[in-house]
Amino acid sequence: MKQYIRVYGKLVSMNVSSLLAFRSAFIANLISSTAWASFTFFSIFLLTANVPVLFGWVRDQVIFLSAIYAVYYGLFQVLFAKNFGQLAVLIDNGELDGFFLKPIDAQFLTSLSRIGVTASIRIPMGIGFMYFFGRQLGVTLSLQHGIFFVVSLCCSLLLLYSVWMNILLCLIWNPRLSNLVEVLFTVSGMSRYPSEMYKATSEVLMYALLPLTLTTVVPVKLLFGTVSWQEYVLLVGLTLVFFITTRIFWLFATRFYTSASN
Amino acid sequence: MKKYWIFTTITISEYMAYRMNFFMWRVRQIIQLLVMYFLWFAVFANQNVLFGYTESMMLSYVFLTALLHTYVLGTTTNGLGEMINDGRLTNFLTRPIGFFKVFMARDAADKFLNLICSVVEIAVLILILRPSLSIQHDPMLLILTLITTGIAIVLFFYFSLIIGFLGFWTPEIWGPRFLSIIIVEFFSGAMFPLDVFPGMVKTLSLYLPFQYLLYFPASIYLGKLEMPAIFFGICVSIGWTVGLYLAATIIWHRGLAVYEAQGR
Repeated sequence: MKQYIRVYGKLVSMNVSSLLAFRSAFIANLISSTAWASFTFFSIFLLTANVPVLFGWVRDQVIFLSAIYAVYYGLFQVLFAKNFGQLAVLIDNGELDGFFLKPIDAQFLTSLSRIGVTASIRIPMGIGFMYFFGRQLGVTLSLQHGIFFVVSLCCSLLLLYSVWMNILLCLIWNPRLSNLVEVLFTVSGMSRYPSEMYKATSEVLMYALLPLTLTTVVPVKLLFGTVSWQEYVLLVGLTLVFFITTRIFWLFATRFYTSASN
Repeated sequence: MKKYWIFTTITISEYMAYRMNFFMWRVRQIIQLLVMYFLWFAVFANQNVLFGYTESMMLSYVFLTALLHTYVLGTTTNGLGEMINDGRLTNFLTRPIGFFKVFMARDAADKFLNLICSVVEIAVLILILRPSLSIQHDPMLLILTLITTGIAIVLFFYFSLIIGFLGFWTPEIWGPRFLSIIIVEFFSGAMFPLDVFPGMVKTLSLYLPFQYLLYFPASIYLGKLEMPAIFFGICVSIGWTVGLYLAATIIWHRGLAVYEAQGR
């Protein structure tokens, strides 16, 4: 475990150094990430400006949900998103070999070797909106609530990682499906809206998206004090199931990886 | 013309060679359309009119902009910056072909495929969801919608070329490209009709060329504009297109002067 922590520390410093070596690119990417986060919040403000209630959620609650989404999805963008984009390219070009040859777990390396530093701008923005609209809604955070909230956020992150990895491992059998990453970005974006939106349209759709909708709804409801223990246990349970499945699927899928270009 | 037609057919063949990848792209477009549809459907659940739009007008706007989005904003010039950086541009410079015309031919293929797929997808979604839509019966407005869509296609083509030409001066294209996509998506009316924006943002959007990409043709179709405003808008959009063409030409020649063909 100490070795992995040390290696991750080295990866983080390498990523930061690489980013600062190309300062103009860093600034351009930072501006892009800030603009994207700003437009996302502006869209929600605009949408709810004349709509006091949306799927049973009042305006401030919808914005609070978006803020939580910004925080947890910002973390996902920082920790994992770049690696998943790179995974598609590595498999397609047959360059995954280098990861298998290192004296460290290949899944760890492919999942965490790149850090999306500029995407981290979404996290303080999200926290800022969470604080402001949390106060408007009278959200109070006790130590117990805080711990449960952090645990639910970690579960959300891990669940999203597991869903992505399980789907992207299919690229080993079909390396040319690079647009799968784009589809996952779009589908993941659906979790910024209340899950009731999908339930109103189709129960089947809601259950199909259940892992993703739980990732934001459960932490939000936890802070509102309206989460049921079943929803919380479902989030934790689904996280464990998906994460274990991811590991099993990784070990299974990588047996079929052929380094065709090397 | 025949050599550029070959580029069009080759581009179609490229897309068809990786059909599943193309299919995934279409899945993404459908999901984006459905999310906007569900959102507005929910917003209008308790109201009849919002921002001056009825439910049928707004849902018509959503479907129409989804249709326009795929072939107005779809382009093969996205990879132009990388092409310049890794030297593949040299392949075009050493051949007796016009660079702009090659990319127009490739774009034509991209738009053709996307248009066919969009029409089929939207038709199927309309059959399944059965939304209440506003159907335009005025032939004059339909013709004007087609004309303004054609202008939008050319306008965005030159805008996208200019963004791609940044590759002559910087190896980092992703940031500026992504920022341009965000700005275009926002100010073209892809997310919301521009008349729902608050005062200052709406005023800003009127001074930018992006409203002529999606919002302007959609507004004509929905009958929201008077004839003088339509003809004024057409003149302004043509002006923007000519301006962007001139800018693209100047930047292209300046870029060629500093092009080093690295990697070749």
